[in-house]
Amino acid sequence: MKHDFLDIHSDIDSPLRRLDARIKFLALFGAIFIIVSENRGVLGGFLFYLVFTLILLSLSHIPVKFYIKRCLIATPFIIMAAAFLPLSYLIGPEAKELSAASVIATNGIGETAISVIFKAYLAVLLLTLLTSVSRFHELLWALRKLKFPKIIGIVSSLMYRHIFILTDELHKTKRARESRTPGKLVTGKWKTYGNQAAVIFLRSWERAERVSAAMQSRGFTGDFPEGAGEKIHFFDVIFIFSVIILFLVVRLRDFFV
Amino acid sequence: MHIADGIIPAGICAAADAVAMGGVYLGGRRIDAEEIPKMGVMAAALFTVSLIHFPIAGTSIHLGLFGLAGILLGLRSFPVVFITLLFQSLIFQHGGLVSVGLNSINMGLGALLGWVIWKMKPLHMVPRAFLAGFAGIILPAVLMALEFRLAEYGKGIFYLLSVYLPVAAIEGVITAGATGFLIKAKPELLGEK
Repeated sequence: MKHDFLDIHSDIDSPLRRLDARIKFLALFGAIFIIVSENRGVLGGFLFYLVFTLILLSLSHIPVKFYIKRCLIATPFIIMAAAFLPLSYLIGPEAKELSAASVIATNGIGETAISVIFKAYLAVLLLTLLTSVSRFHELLWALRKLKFPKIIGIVSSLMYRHIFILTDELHKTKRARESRTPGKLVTGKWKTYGNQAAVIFLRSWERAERVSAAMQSRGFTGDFPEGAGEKIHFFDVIFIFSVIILFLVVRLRDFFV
Repeated sequence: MHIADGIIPAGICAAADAVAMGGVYLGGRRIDAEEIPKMGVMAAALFTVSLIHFPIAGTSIHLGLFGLAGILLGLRSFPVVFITLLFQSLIFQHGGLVSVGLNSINMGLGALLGWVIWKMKPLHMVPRAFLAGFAGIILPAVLMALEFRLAEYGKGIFYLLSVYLPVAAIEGVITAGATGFLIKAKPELLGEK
């Protein structure tokens, strides 16, 4: 089995790890939303958001290298999205109407691009934190408890269960192809990839039919039985209020100053 | 294709999240208990095939196969795409958590358009499958460009679509190949006898 992209650090004990999954989801989703809602091109609050985020990361006891790695993975997408902001004016019809530099300068496009970079990296860090300090099945349980549409909770749980199996299936088909045609594919490349995808879908469907029959024979009626659930503790309440209030104070700083 | 958090204003993302939830509700309405495990496994399959990377022009791209998801799952493809994107956001940070609704609308509508094209029976199976795969990429790209335009990007953002044309063509060919394979191996999976 080769699927260490799931739950890599969720067994590391930390104060954040011990929090209720619902609280972690709501608090960190709220923090990301507040950062994303920051006015475009306004850079004043990002230093505070960064400090709060770093404090949260330090509480997670997750190796810094892991966060850096996740940021590096997201970097091409973030830089491209930010670079496209001025670029879309430079290559678009606006450049013919006015000087492109003046369009960018007058509309504060440069500042907006920088704020996009800050927002995106902070969101990646907080999202990485959320999934690193929670076991994945706990997050799925939290989604169900937070009254997300029932279908999301149930299908997600089944999906989580089968990702491990199908990832192995993917590696098997890849190994089979490589053993038949070692090296780079030259002819029939796209057909081969199409066949590989079709084999995954076909095996998945056959497996799905067996799973469906087995679940129905055990009396599955479209919902999972509820577990005992966990109580929200005092420290959970303190955590969510602290996070939301701190980020909100920065967001609403214009009202206070 | 996956929009990260921070690029599109929070208001638009929040509205898209609400619309996507509505889409999930509509796509999952009147569902039989026997369909649920199948949706779960197919969502896992969609997630897994997105891990297939192939080299192109010095870089590597991964399969989306939203058109194929539409062909296989029909109306149920919208909730499945939503859940797959939620997983990709949580596990790989591919796309944001706040913008998951936006990404789901883009790619979910791509899958639904793929399904509609697949239902156009007068067309031969190969062009239908190709167009479904092509639409599964190009519609999300068009929607993404429109959303970027709402986020104050310049009109030049529409030139970005030209980047997606070869990717959509490759997905079309792969979808046609996969559909051809499935129609021989298990035609009932595609609603064909």
